[in-house]
Amino acid sequence: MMTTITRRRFVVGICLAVAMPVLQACRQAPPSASPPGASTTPQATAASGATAGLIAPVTTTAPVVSSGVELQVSTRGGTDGDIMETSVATFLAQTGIKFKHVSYGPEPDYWSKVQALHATGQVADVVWASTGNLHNFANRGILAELDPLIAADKYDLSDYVKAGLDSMSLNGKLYGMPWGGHPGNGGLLYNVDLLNAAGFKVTEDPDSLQDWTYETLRDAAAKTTKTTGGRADVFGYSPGTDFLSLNNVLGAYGARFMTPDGKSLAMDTPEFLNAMRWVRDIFVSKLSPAPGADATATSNTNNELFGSSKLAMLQTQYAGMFSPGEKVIQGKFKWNVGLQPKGPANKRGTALTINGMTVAALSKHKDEAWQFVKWLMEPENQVPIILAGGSRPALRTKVLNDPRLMNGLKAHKVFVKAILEAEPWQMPANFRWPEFNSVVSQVFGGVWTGTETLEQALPQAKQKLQDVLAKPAID
Amino acid sequence: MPEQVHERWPRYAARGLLYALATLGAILFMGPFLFAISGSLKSAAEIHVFPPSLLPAEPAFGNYARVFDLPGVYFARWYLNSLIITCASVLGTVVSACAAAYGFSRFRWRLRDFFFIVLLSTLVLPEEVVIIPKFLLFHYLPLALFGHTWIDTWWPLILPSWFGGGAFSVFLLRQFFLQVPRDLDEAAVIDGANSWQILWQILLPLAQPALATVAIFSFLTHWNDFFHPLIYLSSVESFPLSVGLRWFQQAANDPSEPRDHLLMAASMLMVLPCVLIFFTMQRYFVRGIVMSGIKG
Amino acid sequence: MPSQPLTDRLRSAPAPAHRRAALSLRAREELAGWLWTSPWLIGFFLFVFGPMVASLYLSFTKYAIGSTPQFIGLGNFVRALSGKDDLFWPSMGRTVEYALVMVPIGIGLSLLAATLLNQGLKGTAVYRTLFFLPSLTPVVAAAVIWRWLYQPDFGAINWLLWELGVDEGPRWLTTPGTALPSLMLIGLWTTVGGGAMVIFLAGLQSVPRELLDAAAIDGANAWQRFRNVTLPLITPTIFFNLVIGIIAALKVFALAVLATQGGPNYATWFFNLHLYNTAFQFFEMGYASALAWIFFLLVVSLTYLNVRWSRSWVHYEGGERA
Repeated sequence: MMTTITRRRFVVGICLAVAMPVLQACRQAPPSASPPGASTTPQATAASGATAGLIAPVTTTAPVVSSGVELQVSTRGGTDGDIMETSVATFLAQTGIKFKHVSYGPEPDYWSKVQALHATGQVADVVWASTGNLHNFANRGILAELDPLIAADKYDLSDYVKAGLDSMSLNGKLYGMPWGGHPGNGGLLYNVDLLNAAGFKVTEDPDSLQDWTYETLRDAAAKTTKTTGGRADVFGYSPGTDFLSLNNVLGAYGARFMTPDGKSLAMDTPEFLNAMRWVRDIFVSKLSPAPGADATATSNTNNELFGSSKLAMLQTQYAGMFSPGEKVIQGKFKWNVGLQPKGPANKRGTALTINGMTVAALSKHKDEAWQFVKWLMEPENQVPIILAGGSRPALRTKVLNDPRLMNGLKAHKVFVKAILEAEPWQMPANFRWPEFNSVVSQVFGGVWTGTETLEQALPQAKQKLQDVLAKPAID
Repeated sequence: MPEQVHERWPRYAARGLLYALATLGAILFMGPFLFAISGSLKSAAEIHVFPPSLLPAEPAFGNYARVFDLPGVYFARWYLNSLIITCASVLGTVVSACAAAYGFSRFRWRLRDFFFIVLLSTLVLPEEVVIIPKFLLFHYLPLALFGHTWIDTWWPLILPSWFGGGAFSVFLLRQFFLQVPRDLDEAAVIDGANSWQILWQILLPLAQPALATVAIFSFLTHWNDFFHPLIYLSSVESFPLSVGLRWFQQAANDPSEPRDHLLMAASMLMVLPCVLIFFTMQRYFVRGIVMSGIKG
Repeated sequence: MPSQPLTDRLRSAPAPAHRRAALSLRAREELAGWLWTSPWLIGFFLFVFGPMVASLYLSFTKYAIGSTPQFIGLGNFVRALSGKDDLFWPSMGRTVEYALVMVPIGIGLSLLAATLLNQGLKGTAVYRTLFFLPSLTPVVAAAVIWRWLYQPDFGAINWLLWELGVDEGPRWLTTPGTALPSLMLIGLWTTVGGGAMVIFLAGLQSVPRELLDAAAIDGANAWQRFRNVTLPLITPTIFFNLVIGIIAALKVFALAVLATQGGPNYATWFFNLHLYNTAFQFFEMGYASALAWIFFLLVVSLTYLNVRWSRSWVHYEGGERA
């Protein structure tokens, strides 16, 4: 029948049309879900331009790993991802070993992705892990011990900063190399012009903020905030509301979230209350833009406001030198990054924060993974990337004291000093820092928007935080 | 009986009020889309200006192209992924729901009515109660059978559609088949047709409207699905649009180019196929919803 | 027009030569029925029944993916119901709050919209389309768009408030008091005007004109006609929308993930979000299965109660008002 034929043809056509992409999907569906090459090639970033110029490719040796086997390195994406894309390309050119960069998403997704992929046996060979989650991973057996690899390679650790290596160790065993470090959210990004106009004698030299106290900071914030008709045109200062940012203020007041043994809270001290009240005051007095829905949203808003001269100061990190950075500000005003002030305890709050590169315990190519990690720690593979923007220096004196960084980056020397003097990271005894951080970001929401006082929010906050500390180390 | 003038005024007023209400409703429903479109056509400089203007100074249609071009945002790939996953699922749904509906409507077999009640009760089944074992199933079973897991692949998203396609589709098609008179079947049986031929040559040609309805609702369900890809997929490049758009939203901005206008453009691009399908298939929509509601 | 299936008539045919064929005809129908339904049956056992049994088993164990399940009896349920998991009852509360607003207001507004569209206004088809479009929006796109509308400094909502004289609009999504209502508004936007409204419209249109005309002749005004004629006749549609609506409202998840991440201060920490976090962020699969079963039992009981209650007010055509 005519109708049967045409209908059949139609259906067959549809089936073919759909089957083709489905077959393609099946081909692409193996565990690594590989994309077409084009989409992961980095755009022409400044970093790639810098590294291509400085590093001459060595003669390519035959790939150590047979084709079809894929080595992976995972990061949390964003700037770290861009850096890694360039690095794997350069590493391939120099050694012939091919790594593929995979992004597991921004934190906090990153931490649970690593755990999930470890449980399903698919985690990358080289895994980025920071002080916040490295101990958790090590405790759960996700990371390989590096000491045997270091010994077999006869690698020299003498120029590494001891505190950096200690941060990456659990029970005396090393699990990660300190690929990048900074003293916590202890940076103060400031707009020289706006501060001068408000009567504060600061210059582009970060040491000009040396004697600032928290009173000075609040005063500067108040004097640089300009409002018209109930809406702010310029904000004075934006503090962070996550664990690391609050930790910085607490440290300056001599307070802490938890006791040094990481088993119980230390949130009852007057110093703790004073420090938190200081932060709350900034928000409630409308000297700061409202905190965003999450840390990224807040950071996006802050960067944009600062870059358009609508925010005079903000709490930041080492990366504040690049974010928003001169590429955005483009000479519209003078600026730099200094350190957050000293507090009533006559010190600055610090927490030695290390971004580590680790080798996965389940990796079947630990030797290649170690080679890559080692390569990433070399000054030649660090300095150009840091200069180009967004990365932090490795904790080895060769990198920290590199003249290119000291002279080339506006605030590097200030941070080096802070890094070397930084207090260790506060880690819960059960290593559940990501959960602790997540709760801290949630429970004080009402305090920052002014709907609750600190006293009203504290009981519930302490209870939830104590619950996290009370959990066992592994389920 | 001639109406007095003073009886007409309340009626006109009432009528006018109804039009006002309907227009208000239309504004409330369309408003967010208008703002989204307006935002999507603004340039980076305009998007964070207060007070915002409804009309951009110069419509930046280029934003829609820029969305496909952003570093770290694999928008084109996500779009394609969504299309592939959705079309594969729709095909599976239509095929297997047809088969099941045929089985439920045209044959008598033991336990048929029992399983039909079971089918109806799965309409109220919350997905959460099965998702964890399904996750484990899609991990351990393929691992045992084929040596690699199906987590982070598209199989968990597509395969269930090929096995029944969801209670709603089966139910809809069954109701439809029940309404087709059996005389045509019987005539075909006398001619020596088997069950496959009856389905293919008699029922399906008549069922095209119902099939269209099932395809449409299946398309929308899978295009919009956020929960399942969120759970099964972890590689960014394999995301469909739903999870991809969330990734886009969470990604850190380049401060020289805030992304809100691009986010709006991306959202409108995600809504576009749904709207297109609606406009081309409007009658099937209404019919489908009504059939499920009235008979249900 | 014969009303018996062909198979019956063949079976009752007297010719003995057909007897053997007739038996296998019956068996063949049985087999064909099973075969045609088999994809669905396999799917049901593999993806519904099997997992349900498995999750019931898991709910009595302590299990993190990669380890072996440890039987702990009712431990998970005790942990949830006793409040030891201090987010269990709050998340239940948030979800119930959300449903308590969404369901009555959502259904009421849908009915209102359907009635409006049933008035024979000019351009009804256009209005119906405009009302319906938001329900087509993927929840992800809706959340992204509305998050932008709710933005305190540049968003449309605070701008409209500013035009009305409110200098500084609330920080909708980041203040604990306004976060949940903000999500409810998004929820209402995506559901009123959607399927429920269309079903109501069909129900309204199926009310026989004669009854309404008779009531009008008897002197009933518009409201009385609605209350005494229309409303009883559409109670089946109200019931249907109620059942579906309650279940859909209790399952709220994506909105919280995309717009507020469950905050601020857990103000939008819905039950499904809690379940998802427990299962896929903390990998406590045993406990999460217990949560899932608690949720399932809740849904089943609510549906059952709904059905029982409906007998007292749903009036089916041709039946007596109970």
